[in-house]
Amino acid sequence: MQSCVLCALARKFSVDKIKGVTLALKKCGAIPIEVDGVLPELVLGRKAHEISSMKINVGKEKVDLGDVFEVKCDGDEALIFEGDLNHVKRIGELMSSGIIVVRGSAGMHLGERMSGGSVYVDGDIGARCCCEMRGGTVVVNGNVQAMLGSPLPGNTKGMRGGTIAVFGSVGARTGEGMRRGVIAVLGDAGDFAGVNMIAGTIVVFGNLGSNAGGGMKRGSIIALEGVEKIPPTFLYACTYKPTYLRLYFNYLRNFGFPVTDEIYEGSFRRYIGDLSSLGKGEMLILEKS
Amino acid sequence: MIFNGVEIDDTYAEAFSMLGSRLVITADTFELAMIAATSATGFATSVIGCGCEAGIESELDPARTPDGRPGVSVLIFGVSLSALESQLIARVGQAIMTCPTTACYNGLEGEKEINVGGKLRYFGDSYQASKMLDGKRFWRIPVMDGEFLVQEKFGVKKGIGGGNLLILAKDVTSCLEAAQKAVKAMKKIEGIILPFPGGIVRSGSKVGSTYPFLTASTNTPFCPTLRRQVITSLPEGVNAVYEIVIDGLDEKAVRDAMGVGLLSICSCDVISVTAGNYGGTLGQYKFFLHEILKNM
Repeated sequence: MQSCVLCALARKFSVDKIKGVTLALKKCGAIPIEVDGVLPELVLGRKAHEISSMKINVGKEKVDLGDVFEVKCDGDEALIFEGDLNHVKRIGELMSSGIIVVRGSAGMHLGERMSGGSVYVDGDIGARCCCEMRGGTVVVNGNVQAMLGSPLPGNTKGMRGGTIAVFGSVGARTGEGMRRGVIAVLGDAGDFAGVNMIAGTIVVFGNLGSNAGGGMKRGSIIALEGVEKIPPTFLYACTYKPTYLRLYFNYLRNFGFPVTDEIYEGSFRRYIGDLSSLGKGEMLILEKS
Repeated sequence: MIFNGVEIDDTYAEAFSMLGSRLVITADTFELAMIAATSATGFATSVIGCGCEAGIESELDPARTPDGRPGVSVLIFGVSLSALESQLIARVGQAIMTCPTTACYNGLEGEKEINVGGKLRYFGDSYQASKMLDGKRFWRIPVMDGEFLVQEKFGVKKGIGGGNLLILAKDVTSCLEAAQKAVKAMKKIEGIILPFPGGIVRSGSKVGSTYPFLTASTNTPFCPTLRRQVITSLPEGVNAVYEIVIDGLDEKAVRDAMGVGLLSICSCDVISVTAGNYGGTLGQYKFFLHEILKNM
């Protein structure tokens, strides 16, 4: 199972041990570099000179990948990016299989519309990552900027499958328009998490910002450390122990999230909403003893 | 063959292909899970009269269940996919969902799938919610103590129904003792159930009847009171017979169960052990007693 592979990569083995095709950024810069099309399924198994001659965008220009990255082939387990990659965008865009490891931080649009495979990022990632993601797994060891898993501009449906595990905090509008899948955040979530959510599950181990779930139709937002402000269109229903959450917590435990006994066996206050929309969504807030 | 003073007939049990499914029932306590499992597998001794054959397979530690709560696994066998689906929907809906704190999961990666949770969800009256996790869909049905969680699809695989052992003894007491000891040993085998009450059949049947409206009737060759009225299969000295019927998910499970059953029986005060068959013309499987015993 992909998530177990990533768990093994992230939590049990050093990513330094993975062998594959390494693309090391030659020089930092401010001009955005877009590496859409540079995917494990297209790169692994090829020779270094073939990879170097792939075309990528640097700003408005199309250049050879080898002009920007040093290519080293010593295996075929994963595609590895190295260097200060904050301006490198579209890593893993439309990916369908394989493993990408980012040794450092990455720029915007990582994992956009990916449908399979796994991406592991050792640092932070930019805004608008995993937009309209359909499947696969993304693990981020650092923080994520705004609009994780959101729709692309002009669209209404965001992430529709897969799992995103963030071991830092996330910015605003995380899981906007989410249609399916799981987003788990170890740190805090910014405002408007799950806004206009259609379905799916967001689990926040830290604090949940204001106006979470605004406009949500269905889906679940689980707040384990509290919520800044519950929207007035959410109404308290009951306090209970949702059995289904135990499945999710087992799943997240395998990723390395710290699911304590208090969380696992805890009771949750259920707020239904958003009543200004369909109103079949829920916010579950862990009741602290 | 004589083993431990017990005569083992040189014969075989003739068994049939059936479709099997496994439910994992969990609850807040083991007692509640067992209550649900017992209810769900009641009135399920034979497909002919009950629609399916069902029984409790094993108790499950919290570590072995999907939600980390105490559980029980149950096997249900039917003759067709549609029949099995109807039975599962009815039993999960009426006997498991109705029991406090339970949840019900699929316990078998089968060759085919049947839709159980997906049909039961309508009980939620449009307030049910679906959750998709790791490629599996679950339904959360609102009920009076919170939610009933049920997996949408349940796996089905080809299994075996009708493995059997017939224990012949001098009286009811010794025959029953041997049967119960065998049942206790056989229940430890994974992948099988013993669908009859306590795992034991006292009213074994044969194909056909004097009456044209009946397809099966009492097993007259093994009825002690009819010894002088019918062609008997009873040696002298036998005054009681009990049968143990085994349904299993695969041949090995049935074979293993019959093997441990035979060993247990042969440690008791019984006269002989035999098995029921139809001349080998009906069933797809044959379990030879001598072969099984030799392999133990």
